[in-house]
Amino acid sequence: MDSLRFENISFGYYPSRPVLNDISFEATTDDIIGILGPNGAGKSTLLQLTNGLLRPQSGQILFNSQEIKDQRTSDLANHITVSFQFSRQEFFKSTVFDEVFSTISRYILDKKGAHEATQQILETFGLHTVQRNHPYTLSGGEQRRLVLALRFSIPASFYMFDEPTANADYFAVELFRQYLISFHSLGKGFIIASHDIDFLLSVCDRILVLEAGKLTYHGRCEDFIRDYSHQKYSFIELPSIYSFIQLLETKKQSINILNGYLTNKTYNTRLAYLKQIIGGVG
Amino acid sequence: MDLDPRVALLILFSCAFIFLISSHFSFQFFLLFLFLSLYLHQTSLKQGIRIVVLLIIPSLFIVVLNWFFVSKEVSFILLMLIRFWGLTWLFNWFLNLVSPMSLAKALWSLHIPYQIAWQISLTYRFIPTFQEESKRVYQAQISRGIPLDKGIMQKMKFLPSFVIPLLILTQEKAELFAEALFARNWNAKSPKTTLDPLSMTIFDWILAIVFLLMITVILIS
Repeated sequence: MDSLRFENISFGYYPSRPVLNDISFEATTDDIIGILGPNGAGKSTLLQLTNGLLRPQSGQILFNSQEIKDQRTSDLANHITVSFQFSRQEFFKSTVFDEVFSTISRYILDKKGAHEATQQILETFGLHTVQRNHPYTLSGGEQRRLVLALRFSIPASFYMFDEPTANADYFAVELFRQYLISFHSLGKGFIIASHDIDFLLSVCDRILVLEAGKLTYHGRCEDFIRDYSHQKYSFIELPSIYSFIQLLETKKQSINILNGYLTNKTYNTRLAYLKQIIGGVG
Repeated sequence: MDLDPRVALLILFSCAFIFLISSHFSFQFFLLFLFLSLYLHQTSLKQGIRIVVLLIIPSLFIVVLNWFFVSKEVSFILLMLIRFWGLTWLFNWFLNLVSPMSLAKALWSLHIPYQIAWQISLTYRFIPTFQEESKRVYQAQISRGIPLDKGIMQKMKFLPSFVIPLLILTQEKAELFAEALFARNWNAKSPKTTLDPLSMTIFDWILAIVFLLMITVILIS
């Protein structure tokens, strides 16, 4: 099990205006961590610090209790890969197949094996039908999936995503959720910065809240929903499950429904569970 | 102090001309001094020094080449260096001083067709955008594990991974920009007015006359 530990990280683009202030937490490959926060809270900066694009001004980041200060980003990318919000600027091959193959062949040196692995990953992400097309001619959703395919073709231990669900339709979000859960079951850790509270609550084990560069909440997902009624965040929309529970509470239903909902991990079982409850109410 | 962009253009071209043509060491030195005082008025000494530091390797190249292949005269090599630094400072000064919009205005008032003036100013307005775009491509590629940050050989080997996305994205950005202009019903040929027309102050006139005189002197001598 790999771990990534942040110890008292502080960072600012200008010395007078710190962006991150004394951030400490630990991520392991057992967890999916969600980072919430208003615009400009330092979520993207935190992700960029993790793979060495930016270096912290004080404090240290330890990967498997080894400091990452002296390592280059391209080396770190083999263990910790970050995918940015605007990430279609990285296609440079003439076909989708070559694009994925160029990444995979760095890790699988046997050419035939790399070929097969590429085929497999393209099928996983539903890109095998367009594998002979030019990457820039794909639609927005396909490009997003190609970026995911490129990220997941690196055998890293941590994957980080900056706003993976922004501008994505329901189908794409659902696919991403499935990839995430299936890759997580292979022992990969995830850190996801997003504004999409419903998405984060449905996949994450832990939630961090960043406000103006400070870590103001750090706890399990279930606790976050429970604490939500006491601690209101103006920048986070009400999770739809929370408003649903409120609705049920007015009908004298117990809060256990929430726990029941959260113990069901996949979408289909959740849907079945909710249908069952609604049937009971009606 | 805001210089008139037309005077800034005049200074740019006359200084560049003098730096390239003249071979009088003392005269160039004087010009450099004059120009630097102008430069420091607009930007800081720190930035000026930073530029010289950035130019150390090309400067060394110039010194070595001249020493071994052209002439062993110290004053001649110094002249070359002054020429090099002077031109760099000159363009840096101009880019800092004149905004793209006022450049378009200046060219337009010099009876250059509006389409061309607009194109020139646009080219120069997109330099920062291009820089930002290239930074993004670079960051995306190294966080994907492409070793662009590992020395010159690896950089050359993986250069296409940096250049191709940059070219495509720039092209896309240009098309997007054109579409946005069309959507706003922008027409280069329609008659135009400006909100604040350019006007020359006394200081502008003095500078313009000084630099015109200098060009004349150089051409006669």
